[in-house]
Amino acid sequence: MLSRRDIFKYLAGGGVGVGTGLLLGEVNQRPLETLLSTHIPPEDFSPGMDTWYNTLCRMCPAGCGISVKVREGRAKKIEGNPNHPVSQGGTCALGQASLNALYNPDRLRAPMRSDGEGGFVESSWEEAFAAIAPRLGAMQSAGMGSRTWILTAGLLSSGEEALDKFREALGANVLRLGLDTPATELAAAQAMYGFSGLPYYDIAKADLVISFGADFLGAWRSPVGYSKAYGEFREVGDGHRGHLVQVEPRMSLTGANADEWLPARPGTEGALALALAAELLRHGGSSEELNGWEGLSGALSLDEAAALADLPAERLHALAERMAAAETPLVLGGGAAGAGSNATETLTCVAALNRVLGAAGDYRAAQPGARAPILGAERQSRDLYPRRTTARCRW
Amino acid sequence: MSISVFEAARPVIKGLIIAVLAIVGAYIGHWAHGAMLNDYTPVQPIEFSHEIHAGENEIPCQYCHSWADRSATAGVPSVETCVGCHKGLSEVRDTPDVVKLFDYWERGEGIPWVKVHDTPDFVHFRHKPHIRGGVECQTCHGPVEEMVRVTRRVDLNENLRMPWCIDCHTEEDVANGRDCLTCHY
Ligand code: SF4
Repeated sequence: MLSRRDIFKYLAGGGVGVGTGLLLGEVNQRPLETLLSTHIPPEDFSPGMDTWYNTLCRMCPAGCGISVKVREGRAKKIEGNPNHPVSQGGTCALGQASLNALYNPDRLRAPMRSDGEGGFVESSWEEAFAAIAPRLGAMQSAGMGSRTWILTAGLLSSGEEALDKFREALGANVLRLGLDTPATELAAAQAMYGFSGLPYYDIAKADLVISFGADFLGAWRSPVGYSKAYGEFREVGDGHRGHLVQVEPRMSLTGANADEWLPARPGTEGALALALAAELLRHGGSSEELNGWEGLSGALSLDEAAALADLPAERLHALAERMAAAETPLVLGGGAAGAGSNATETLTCVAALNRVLGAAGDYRAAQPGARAPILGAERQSRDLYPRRTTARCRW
Repeated sequence: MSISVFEAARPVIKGLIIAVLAIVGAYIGHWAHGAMLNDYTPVQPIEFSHEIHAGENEIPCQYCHSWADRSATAGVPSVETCVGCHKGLSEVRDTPDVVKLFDYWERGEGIPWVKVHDTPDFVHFRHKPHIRGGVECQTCHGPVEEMVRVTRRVDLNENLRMPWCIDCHTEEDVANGRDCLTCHY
């Protein structure tokens, strides 16, 4: 009955079965994982537990305060630091996404050396130091330190201090270049507010904001801080709802949110600001504060400025009236207005308009209830109001 | 007549027998794999003996796995912890595995231990509440202090599954011990 052939068939069937069973057992195993021990653990290393580090977001120059959740030495999540004065616990989408910048596979992890054919090859820090240090030394011993230039986009706090020391030691110069180098804004603040540094615009306490190109809800200076302030500015609860006018050729996010959008021709913002200032001076009488401001040199009339900027003249007149009537008006300048070839003059004129509006204040004046919505950091001279205007606009 | 029917069915019956044999064989193969080819006792990069450390020398578990009462994971000791003791133990300094340890130390590397016990990613087991609740390490890990090479016992492997957790949670009347979200979140 059971032939030789049959026996072989049965054996083969059983054999295939056993083999399949073994194979299934093998593939069904959970793969083994390794548990890498640390060599010398960092002080606050605690596996399976979160450690939070407070630091600053560096995705834009605002430098919001953030707390980073770290697990076993790896950054895992970013949250706003509620104790930080600028962001007060907020972050923007960029700040949230900065973990992706940290772990981006294309991020440079080592110094890159030019290969002479337009490409770059990775090198080590030792190599980099060996290549650079002797040349810097040679420049210095030849007394040519001042011909050394350090090119940077700007650093923050301790980094800036280190850069300063390095520059001093070399006797070198620093050239700041970057998409967001606020050289024009710095120059305007120096000329009109008399301090070196960027002014802080206290939008929250203003009842009228006229922004010349400053897209503060999008990507200007400190989006998180200004967004918070904007919320207060628009607060309707106490019957105070600020009015926002955006003057810019392209409608930005801020322009889209504004009550009025004035598409002035690019480069004419300064002329507009100065014309408005002159108009206000003409009708506002002369207060003690504004002695010496009467003859704003180079100011156009509102109609001339409207023609220049390609705007209906009646809108400018209406704006001037609104400014005269406002209690705590504030003017911002930056963004598109701070980017043309006449940007420094433009922003200086915008700042002059703030002076005429009496919007330039100091630390004390920025306290609640005060009338001065601009807070200047590190004011150099006590005399905030030089008697003669230096505003001159070119368009 | 019947004979010819039987004759006709013969290949079918044979096929069935082969299929049954194959299935039985698969069971045997799977069992044999679990019994003999399993990885419940993985070879570690250093042949570290818990029998010597935890058994003979009675070093408490949490001297090395020091996060067990504070964290989700018990953690493995840093190389520094190992070397901290072994620097003073010259009598075993030349045994092959201690030499390996000092090689890791000098290279500045961690030791890539192979995990013996592991829960799937959808289970959030936390050591802290268990240790603080007074559960002995051995309840889940077996008599580690008797093991030269740590093993996941076959029966424990069968048991370290959800019904086993639930049984204990029920017996001990753990608060929210039967709630899905206690472990699966
Ligand atoms: S505004 Fe956004 S990107 Fe800029 S510092 Fe703050 S969180 Fe970072």
